[in-house]
Amino acid sequence: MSEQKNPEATQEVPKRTSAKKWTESARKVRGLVRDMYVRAFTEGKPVAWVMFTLVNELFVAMDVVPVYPENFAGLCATKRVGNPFIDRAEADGFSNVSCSYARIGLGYAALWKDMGEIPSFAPDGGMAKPIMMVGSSLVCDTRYKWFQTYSRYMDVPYYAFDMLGPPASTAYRPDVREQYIKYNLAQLQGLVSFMEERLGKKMDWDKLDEIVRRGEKTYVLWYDAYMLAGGAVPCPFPAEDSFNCFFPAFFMMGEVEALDFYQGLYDEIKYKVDNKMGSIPEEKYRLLWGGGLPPWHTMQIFNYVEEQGAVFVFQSTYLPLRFADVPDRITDPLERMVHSRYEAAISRAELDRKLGLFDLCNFVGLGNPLLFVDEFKVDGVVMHWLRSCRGTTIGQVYQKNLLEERTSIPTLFLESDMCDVRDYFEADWKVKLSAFLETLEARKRAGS
Amino acid sequence: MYFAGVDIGSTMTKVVIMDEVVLACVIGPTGAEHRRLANKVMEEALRQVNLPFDEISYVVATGYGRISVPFADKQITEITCHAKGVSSLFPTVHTAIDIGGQDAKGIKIADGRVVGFVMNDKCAAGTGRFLEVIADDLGLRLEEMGELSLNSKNRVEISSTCTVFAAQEVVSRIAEGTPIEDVLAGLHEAIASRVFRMVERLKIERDVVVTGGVAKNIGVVKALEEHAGFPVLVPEEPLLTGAVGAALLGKELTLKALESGRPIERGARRLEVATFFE
Amino acid sequence: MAKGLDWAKRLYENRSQRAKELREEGKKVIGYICAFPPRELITAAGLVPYRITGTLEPIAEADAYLETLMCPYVRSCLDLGIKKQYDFVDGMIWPHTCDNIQKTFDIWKHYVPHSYFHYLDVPHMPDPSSFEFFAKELDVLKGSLEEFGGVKITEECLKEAIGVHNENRALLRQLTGLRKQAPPLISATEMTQVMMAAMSIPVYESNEMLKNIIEEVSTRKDGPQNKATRLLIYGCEIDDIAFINLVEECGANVVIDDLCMGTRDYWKDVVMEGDPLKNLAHRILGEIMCPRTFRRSRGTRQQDLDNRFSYIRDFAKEFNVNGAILYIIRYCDTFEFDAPEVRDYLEEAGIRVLHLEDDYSLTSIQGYKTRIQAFLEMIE
Ligand code: SF4
Ligand code: SF4
Repeated sequence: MSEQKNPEATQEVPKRTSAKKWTESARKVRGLVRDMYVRAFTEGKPVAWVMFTLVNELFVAMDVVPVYPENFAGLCATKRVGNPFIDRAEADGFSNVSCSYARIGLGYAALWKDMGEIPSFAPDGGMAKPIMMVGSSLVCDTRYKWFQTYSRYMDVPYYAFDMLGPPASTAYRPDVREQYIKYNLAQLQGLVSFMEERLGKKMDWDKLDEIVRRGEKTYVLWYDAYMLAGGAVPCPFPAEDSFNCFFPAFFMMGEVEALDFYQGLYDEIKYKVDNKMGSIPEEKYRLLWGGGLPPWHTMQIFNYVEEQGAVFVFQSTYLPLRFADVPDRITDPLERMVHSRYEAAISRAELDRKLGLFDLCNFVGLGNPLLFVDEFKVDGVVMHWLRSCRGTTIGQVYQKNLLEERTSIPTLFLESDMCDVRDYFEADWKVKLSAFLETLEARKRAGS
Repeated sequence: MYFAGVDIGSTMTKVVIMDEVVLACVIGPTGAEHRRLANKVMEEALRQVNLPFDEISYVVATGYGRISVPFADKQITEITCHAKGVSSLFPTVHTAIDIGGQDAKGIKIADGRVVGFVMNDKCAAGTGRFLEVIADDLGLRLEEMGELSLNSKNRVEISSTCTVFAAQEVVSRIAEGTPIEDVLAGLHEAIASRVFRMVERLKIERDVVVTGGVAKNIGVVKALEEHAGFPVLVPEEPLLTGAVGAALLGKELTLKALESGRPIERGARRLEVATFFE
Repeated sequence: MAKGLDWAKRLYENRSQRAKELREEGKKVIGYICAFPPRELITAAGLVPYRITGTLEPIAEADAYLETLMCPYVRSCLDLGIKKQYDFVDGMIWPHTCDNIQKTFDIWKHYVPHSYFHYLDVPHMPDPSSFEFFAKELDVLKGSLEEFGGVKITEECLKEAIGVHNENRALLRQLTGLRKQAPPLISATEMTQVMMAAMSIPVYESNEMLKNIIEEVSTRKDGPQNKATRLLIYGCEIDDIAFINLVEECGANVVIDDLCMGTRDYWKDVVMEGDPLKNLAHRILGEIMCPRTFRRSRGTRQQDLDNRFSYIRDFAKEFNVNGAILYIIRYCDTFEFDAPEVRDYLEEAGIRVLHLEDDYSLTSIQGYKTRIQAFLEMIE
């Protein structure tokens, strides 16, 4: 369009959409996020745009600053500045049901190209220009497709790789394990070669080894902290905080700061648990966020339920990986990475087995609500259908059905999108949430 | 020679009769009880110019109900007809935006010809139907809504894409005591932005002409201008462009046939009750 | 018994008829979803391959098991499954084509029980390691089919099955070739019926039917009329004639497609020499041009696009089309991301494009009619 106009003009002044933070750790995250974007501009290091793929360690080892467009999209949504990017991507013909992370990410690049500069309303100064992009098939199809399309707007070499997982119920079989580990390892090696070529330098394997091992420790702390918090009564670490605190695990893994962060988080939660320090004054209902990304555009909604005496004690969307120890005989750091991720799949299958869900949750088992309902003393489950994310939406009804077959815990579905605020209707959410809490109340009364 | 264009929209039926210039135009409701009365509108137009039906050389039907107009020689889609009609009125047009009762469309035009189009007929939130519902609720006419909204100082944000939710939002805002002009301004902006976003896919170029029933709502037009960043053009009678285009296309076809000496393709032409999708 | 196109038409109208008959005779039927599972292995195991499809009917039961915000084709298939329409299917092969299919695995397995159920992982990447992985997957599938069918699939019998399926594809290509002329000798509506029929019977019968049809069509006088516009249709799953018939009724000859139930399924053969499993892997992963498989290119954007889409442009040239319709099923992510690229690529090559996004069940047929007619008016 010839008369390109600053979309800022049509955007209302964003009101505060983020949720109150209950922990010191959660309060630190915003700074870490800002650092990621700022570092990419100021450190003079090569920048990569990366889809979260459990390989952050490689970037740390190669001294590359990874920037994660999916995080950027969430950030835009929180600031309510995502929609001009979304509109721009849709103007190019991308569907309004395509992942809104992708629509924001693509719209950002498109507007940057249109305007000749980074749109001034991009939060945290925007994403710095990358020298490479990396995506993978882990989690969903969008994650390897979307980056391919960036070449419409910017000429940056893109590398995609596979990270496959077998049906959980077969993961323990040695032949299956061997087949998948071999493939995923070859795929990671392909990625390393690509990075070496782009950067004109070789991987420092010793350095990577150190980083991977630091990562392993970090994963364990992350897992332990989250699980400790989930079971604690009263709840010291509501879901909105845990939706914040996955940031270092996803986007800074391997860095010293990430390790420190989870050490700090663990200590903080432990202290609060030991001293029975909760968050809201009186915990009437304990809820589980049982699936779907959160509504980044309106995280404040969590405070709305808290005002009514309910707290989301856990979220199973960003579930920490549960790492079994990687045997010491595996010394190659890439192999260690592949192994640990695979073991996490096995440990999930083990849980399924314990819960009598074996072979029922091969692909939609991500974070079995059943487990948490029981262990975390949950009164009700809330799940979020997202118009533009198949990855975390498909399977929710199934999980609800499995829950109903086995427990009497009620489930509520909410519907909107992780970023596209046009799909969100606050009054509807509030009515549904309040009504849900009323049913929980009725159940309590009937039970007591 | 005389030519007629009949545009049967979901709510209004429009008929234009022309020779060198437009001689008559009649707009009558298509509405449920009038559905079968397209011929009445035609008769009315004929009465105005005092011509028998047989004198009309060629009749083109367009619009939602074009399929089964028994007295038409040819059916052409409203997209092609609108483009023709709009460019006859505004030769400088490159983008036409038509917001009608059932649908909204954007048409990219070069030299009077369609080079691209987009259309929404699924989601009511970007069409006139939505406004009608709200106007009904508030007991206002469409034009009044537009005028009223211009007084707004503090437009409310109506973000929801869903008509049902958006309508609820309007009602609850008014119940809360928000000034009606602010709510209406928000509503118009919501429609404009939805339509604009859709048309943006064509890469909007000047001049932009807005037609259809909603073009009579100055509030929506202004909101569209705000999105575009420049003024848009609105025909004096924004409902008629489709029918005008249809008549003009009929004329072109006839003249071309005459020139080449080929007989022109004609329909059976009975000036009788139209059947809809039966 | 009906012959030629009639045969196909009858089967189209009652797709499961033959499979049910065969089952009565003691054969076992293996259902599969999407173009990726290797029919060759099913045939080699002495089983009957049957392509699972959806229906345009409104989805009724499946909503209690699947979210409405996902691929409506998969939802429709499950709907039929829940309604016991696939009870004659003894076993299922479930490929990891896309998220929508992959994540429905557990749900189908839980609510539509069959005596046999096999998950076939399909890598998204096209690297040597991916081919090796996939060949291994095929080997595992082979073993499991052997067990289910109670047979041993020797290399020889697998090669034979591959040969018969190659012949099947060759016949479908030959039939497609008859659409090059103006007017085409077979309409796209008929072609869809043929394809649907061919995917519901044993390959030997399918070959016989196709030969029959080719013979009939080659000399027919009652073929399609010549229309002003020749079109290509690009998209994912179209397993009903309604949409294509609508396009043809609007006044176009649809002369070539790039669809899952079309050329995408039969354009390339399996190489006969060498290891059959590797060759199968190569055809499925390397040669089925589906956006769900990543195509690597290290070159410029233009090279990347050529690498991914030039075959569509070549189809358009070869079949002399003047326009293309992209029929994209809503929520089908991989196609949704490629669609704007395909649109621009074809427009760039001088082919006008109509990009439609549908909910698979064609609920607003009137709206499509207007769009298609306007598109035809635009390019005439
Ligand atoms: S999982 Fe959902 S949000 Fe994440 S990239 Fe995939 S579609 Fe987008
Ligand atoms: S149509 Fe698309 S989303 Fe649906 S099953 Fe096929 S590839 Fe998957």
